[in-house]
Amino acid sequence: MTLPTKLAIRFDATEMAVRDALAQVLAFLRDAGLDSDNSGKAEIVLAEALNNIVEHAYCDIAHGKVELQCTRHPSRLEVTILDQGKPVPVHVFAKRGYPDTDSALPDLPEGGFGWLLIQTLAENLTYQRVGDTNCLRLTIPLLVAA
Amino acid sequence: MQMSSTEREGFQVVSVEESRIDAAVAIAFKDRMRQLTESGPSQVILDLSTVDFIDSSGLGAIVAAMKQLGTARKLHLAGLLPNVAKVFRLTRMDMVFAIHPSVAEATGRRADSA
Repeated sequence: MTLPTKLAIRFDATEMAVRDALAQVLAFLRDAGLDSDNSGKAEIVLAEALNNIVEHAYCDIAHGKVELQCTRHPSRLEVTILDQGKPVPVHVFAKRGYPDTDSALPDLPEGGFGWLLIQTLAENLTYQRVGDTNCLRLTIPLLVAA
Repeated sequence: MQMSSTEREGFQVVSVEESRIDAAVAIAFKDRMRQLTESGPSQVILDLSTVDFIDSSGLGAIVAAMKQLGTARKLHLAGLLPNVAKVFRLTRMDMVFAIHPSVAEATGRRADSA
């Protein structure tokens, strides 16, 4: 039996469609032999990247589409995400620091966690605007038992 | 958002009865938490034992729920599954919450004598 190594899906840029897409990715990763720790890590990164597209790139554009491609290599997952939303401002990719956990209760951060999670769990992040398309590429290292 | 509330040993226990707190339900979660905790004991435990995924929006909504309670009341978290615990740890938000293995342990009872 050949294990699946590649997944390509296209879906609407909505929060509910992102949920369905993540369920498809998880099924693919399970069939590709990933354990729950690795697939959980991938789900976090992909959820953040995809929700950013829904909330920012397509924030005032209806009927947007997102294309997600995942390729499973032995020790990494390569991901490409394409959308035709607004270009992503460069400052978005700046290195994120940890939130200030010493703040008084009313000042605790309620956001700013998404890119921190992506930058912590993913590697080789690149972004290109090609014509009207945003192209985000990243790698998720997989911890494979020896 | 399916959530329920009970009182146990002087604590208010709010149980999330769904498997995800993500961008699709973050606002509904925050609103439901506000309704359920409008009044009640000062110690509130959020039972997350059925939640297998939260994203940054879900995490933000849980922080917002804690802020809604104000300084006179306290939000405890219980029953975090591994991938949920990971999101708290990686963002260091595990430092701002009291996190317990289970509701029984959060109320001070040992799980094995419950």
